[in-house]
Amino acid sequence: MVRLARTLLASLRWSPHAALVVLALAIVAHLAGFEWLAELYGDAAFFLAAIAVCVRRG
Amino acid sequence: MLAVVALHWWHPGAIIAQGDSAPQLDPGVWFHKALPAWNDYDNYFGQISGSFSFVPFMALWWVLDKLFGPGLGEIALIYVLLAASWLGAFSFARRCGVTVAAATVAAWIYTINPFTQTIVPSLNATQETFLALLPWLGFFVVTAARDPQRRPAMRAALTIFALLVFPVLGITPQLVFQLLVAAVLLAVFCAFFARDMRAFFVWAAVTAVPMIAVSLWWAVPDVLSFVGVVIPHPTSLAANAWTFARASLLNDLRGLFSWGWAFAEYFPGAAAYDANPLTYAAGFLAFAGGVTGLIVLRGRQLAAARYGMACLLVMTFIAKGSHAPLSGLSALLWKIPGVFFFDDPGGATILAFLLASVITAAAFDALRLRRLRLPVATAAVVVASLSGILLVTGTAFHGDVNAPDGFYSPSVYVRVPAYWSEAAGYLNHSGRSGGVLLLPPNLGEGYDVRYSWNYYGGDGLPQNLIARPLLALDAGLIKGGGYLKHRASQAVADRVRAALDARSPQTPSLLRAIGIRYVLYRNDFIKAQPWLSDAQIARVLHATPARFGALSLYDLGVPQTRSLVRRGGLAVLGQRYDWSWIGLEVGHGVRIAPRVAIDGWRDAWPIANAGRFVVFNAVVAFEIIGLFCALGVAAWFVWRARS
Repeated sequence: MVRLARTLLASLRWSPHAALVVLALAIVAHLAGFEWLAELYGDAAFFLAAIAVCVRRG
Repeated sequence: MLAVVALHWWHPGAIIAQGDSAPQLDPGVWFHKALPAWNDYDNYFGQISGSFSFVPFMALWWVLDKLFGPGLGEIALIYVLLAASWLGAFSFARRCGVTVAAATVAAWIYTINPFTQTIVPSLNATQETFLALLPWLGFFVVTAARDPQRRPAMRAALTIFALLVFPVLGITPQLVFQLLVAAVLLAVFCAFFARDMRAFFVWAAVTAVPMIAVSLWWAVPDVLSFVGVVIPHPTSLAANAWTFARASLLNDLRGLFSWGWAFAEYFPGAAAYDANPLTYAAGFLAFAGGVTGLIVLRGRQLAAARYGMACLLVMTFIAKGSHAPLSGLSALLWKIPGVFFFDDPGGATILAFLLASVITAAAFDALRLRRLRLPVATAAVVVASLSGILLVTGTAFHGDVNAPDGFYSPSVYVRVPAYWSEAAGYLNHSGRSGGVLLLPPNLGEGYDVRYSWNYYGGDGLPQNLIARPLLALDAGLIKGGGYLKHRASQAVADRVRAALDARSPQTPSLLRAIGIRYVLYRNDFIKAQPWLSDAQIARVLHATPARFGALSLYDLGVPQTRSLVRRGGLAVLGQRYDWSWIGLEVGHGVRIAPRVAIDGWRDAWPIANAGRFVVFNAVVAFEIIGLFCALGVAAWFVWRARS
């Protein structure tokens, strides 16, 4: 469990990368006409960016 | 490039007018109405006299209008504001330590984005001015942060800004509040660039003192101008649920807070803009660049990036209102006093996007220097320029001001018939004193009106053209479905309206008694509901009108009192604090009650409270003295900075 928790915490450092990927997906979904999906990805990008702000890097 | 963008909006012979922006053929009229205004946003007659805060903006517009004419002058105004935004963002980014190429990217992202295209073409004076001023505020503060030697000079510059430039933000109290919030957030951001952070914060705190002191001369009257009026549309989460329900967090991330974006009748070009992969994706540059900064930046730059992005996320989350996700958390946030100020995203939200633009620029430098090792700088400048050309030549960007069809049909390029200028010219130069009653009244639900010459928007044309007090019954930008209602002027308007509806033979004498000499009947006005015709009004007034095209102008003769319609003289003492004013006491019928002041916030201060009224006059006089003292303080700072 501890290892899993550590792995999960360590994975948070990839949150800004994930935010960019999800934002790209939102753009694609919008252009494809799936606005509800685009908004869902947009929400995810927002919260991933929030995590990225909180996670200390560098 | 910006000049090309602005010129592309120019249609010779036409002016841009839509929504809240009524046709503006002579900015000098508004300038002169705003110049003597002190503490009355809504004067006795219910017209917009404009608070003094409009003076700097209208002065600039007036000068450009005189230089280039109404149409091209409007375009020049847009260009000046865009150019000020671009140069400000560029200078701020450079002071933050990024390269020229990166600063260019930041300037483009900040100046041309989805948010600006919702406000710039419609000449939204408040938001545009804020957009142009904010980066310059950042420039001064970050210069002080990075270079302690220049702090006195920056303090002097900021004080002069607060004294002479910031009054334009006093147009709405929301912007003043947001300016305060933005200034604090900006100071913290700039502190990341200071080697002596503690000394910098001391400097910032001390600088705030003279800035606030010199701001009092315009801030206090602005606060007073909103006292004594009724606010029919108080801001609340529930009241704005309809608009919030039509917003999305995804749109917020590209700075599109306007719910109207999703509606073709408001932004006919929005669909084309959003269908274009390049323009749609470009809208997210600030957000994506900020997130990239979190990945590639290090040290103090990373700390600044985390702070800037935190500002962006918090501001967008507040601005989204009750919309999903986490609508419950939004409801809790809105219970905090003052949060409602961020309903209509202004200063702090714009600041957050400015910070994100600068972080994007820093990330751009980091990528260029450390990762890609490619001539990204050149490529970025080329891409930015090409994007500009695309925006100029495509219907996407300018579609909203060139709508072939829609709610504002057929176009927002308005050609006001010449007879309006002729009638206004006659009234403005007749040399006879007296106010003007504007008919027919706007009986629609909102403040928008339709004219037969293809205009739909705010009913501000007569107020913008006629340099006289104007009584608009039940309509106008304020009195109909507007944001403020003035009790006294509403009561007067109701009485006049009742007299007209009853076709009372006493109507002319009633109008003359309250200082009205002229009645202007607009036959080109498309009534929302049936009302008295021009011929019927002629019978009620017992007068034969002069004709100016579709306009009928009735002259009722010399008004019985000049006091209500007298303007001019010394700005404060001559107009607003004149004890000879005569007002109407309404209650048991209309009757003239001498020496009862009911203008502005004084409507609740009749003669019985004269003592308290004198105290207020004394405060204002003290304020004027304070203004001169503030000028002295500013001059001292300049002298000290130079020495």
